[in-house]
Amino acid sequence: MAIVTASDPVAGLVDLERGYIDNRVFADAEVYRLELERVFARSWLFVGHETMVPEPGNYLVNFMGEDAVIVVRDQAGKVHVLLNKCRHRGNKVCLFDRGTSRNFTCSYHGWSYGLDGSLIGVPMLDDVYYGRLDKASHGLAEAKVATYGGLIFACWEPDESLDEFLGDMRWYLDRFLTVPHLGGLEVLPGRERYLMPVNWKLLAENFGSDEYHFPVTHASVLKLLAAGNQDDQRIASAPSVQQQAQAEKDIALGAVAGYSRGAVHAAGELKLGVASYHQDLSQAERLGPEAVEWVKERHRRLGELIKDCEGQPYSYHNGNIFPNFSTIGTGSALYGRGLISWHPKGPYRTEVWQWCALEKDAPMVVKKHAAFVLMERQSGGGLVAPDDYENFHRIGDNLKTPISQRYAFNYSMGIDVEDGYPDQGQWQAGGLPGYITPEISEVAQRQFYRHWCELMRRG
Amino acid sequence: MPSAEALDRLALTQDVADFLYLEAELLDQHRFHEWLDLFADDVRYVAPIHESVQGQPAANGGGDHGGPAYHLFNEDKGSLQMRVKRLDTGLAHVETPPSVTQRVISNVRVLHAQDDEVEVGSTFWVYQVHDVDEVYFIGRREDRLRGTLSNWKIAHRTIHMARPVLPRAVSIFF
Repeated sequence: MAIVTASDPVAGLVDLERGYIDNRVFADAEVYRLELERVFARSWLFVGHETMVPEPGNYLVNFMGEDAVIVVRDQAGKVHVLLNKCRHRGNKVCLFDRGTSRNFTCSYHGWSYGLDGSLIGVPMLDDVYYGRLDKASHGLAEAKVATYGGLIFACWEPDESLDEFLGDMRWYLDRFLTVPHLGGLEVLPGRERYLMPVNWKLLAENFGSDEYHFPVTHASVLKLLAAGNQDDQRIASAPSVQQQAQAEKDIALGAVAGYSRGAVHAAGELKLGVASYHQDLSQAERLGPEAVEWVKERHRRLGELIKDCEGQPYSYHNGNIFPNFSTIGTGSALYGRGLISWHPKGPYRTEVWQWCALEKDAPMVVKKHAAFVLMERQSGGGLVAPDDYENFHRIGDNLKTPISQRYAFNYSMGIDVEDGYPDQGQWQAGGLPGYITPEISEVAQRQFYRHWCELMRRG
Repeated sequence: MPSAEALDRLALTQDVADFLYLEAELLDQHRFHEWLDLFADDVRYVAPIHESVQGQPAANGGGDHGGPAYHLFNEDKGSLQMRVKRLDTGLAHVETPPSVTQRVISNVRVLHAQDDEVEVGSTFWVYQVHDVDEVYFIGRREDRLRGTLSNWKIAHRTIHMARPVLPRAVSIFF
């Protein structure tokens, strides 16, 4: 087997012509070390949302790759993303998960930093440094920051602006996730954290576009819902509504932003038609007239935005912004939006961070319901994610052993028809940006590794 | 000679402790429907997410003000029943085969007793093993039990996980 080298760390590991990916992509310590430098340092990473830091002095801590950062709003109202590392002996300067502060002071020797990261205090500066410490060049290291629709992104070494990086994904974010026409998002306090015993990329590719796994991995949930789930009507539509949705059947597709060029983002379970809307309406009836009115108003406002789009999409449900920012819940007006970071913690380990975001203009009854649904379905203690956990644990076990490592992962689904899926011309002509795929497809996954390889090859 | 009041208190503490031990046993033995029967029909079963917050938290609403809240658990009887029924399908991979769990319940204290309700604090130490995955969940519970000696229902439960990063996705109960 080839040894992973820094000059071409992916040589022989990724075969996108035939659709095979070597186990070492998910297991090798050197691949992992290099991807922290080459993938995470060069990509725009989600680090928070404007509503988490609304006022000067508000901050939260986060990670960029494995590096600890502080996301903070300064006195002038500007958001900074600062490396949580004192420039003297490298201690952390911020120890809480979030809060409000006027400065960050190191607990070792007391160097202190302003909200913009500048070094403002050095104990006994004149007495012990004899005037020879240049404070101006010893501020906290600062990443580039940009926002999109309230989402805060940061990058150490950007190749392009955030807008260019997001590319065609912006069209989908605007309409279905960041929703300025619905007042934008507000993020609830409370960030859940749990460990997944597998490489971060397998989680990112799953959330971006793996619609293939749902009926099998989550069979228990489908069985529960098919029965109408009399125990908790908040989670399932009535059987009659499910039948109607079957009859009206939305067209389900996937969208890939950055196909064949640049950073790759995916919007999965992209629904065209009226069935999902009607399902939302019937769910809203259980919540009362205010909720029904909201679902209608929301649909009307969306209609304005897509009036020239022949495809008439209602939503996409799950997505991934390269590399490790996934979202879920956008498929329904009554589902909280999960904002998820897959924080890498070694080749075999990922720490999942998930927030719940809600559409700001939604009425309280919808907001409460939506937060409940996200928690109950797609959270670390929900009906869905634990079964993913189990599969990933089993995969993780098989990544570690020598004979098992000889057998590559298969990513060949539809590879021979990728240049022209049946009916593809019709979908593309529907005015949907990006490269449109069938609902169940591995195009987005192959593209994910195409871009990952490009970044890894660049020294 | 302990006072009658002290003896009453001892009896009450022992009785609610026995109830919590029985509950732990039902869970360890996967007798989930009998476990559900221990809850009042109007139960609230809540596990908040704990974060360390410096000074004034950012004013991004929710949570404490009766607004929407994001928790690890925020259940009522119906949603607890739904969770058990999911396990009943036999298709939940995370519990196939079922996890082995061993619960240790300790530090049981009656915090307050009034009319037919008692507030009880306890700590839990749950060992879970599934295949080769071995984890611990450790934390504290505050329960409000309703009833009389040897005949309790859980009317309210708050679960505080000690560890901010949960060791695995959660497919068991606390």
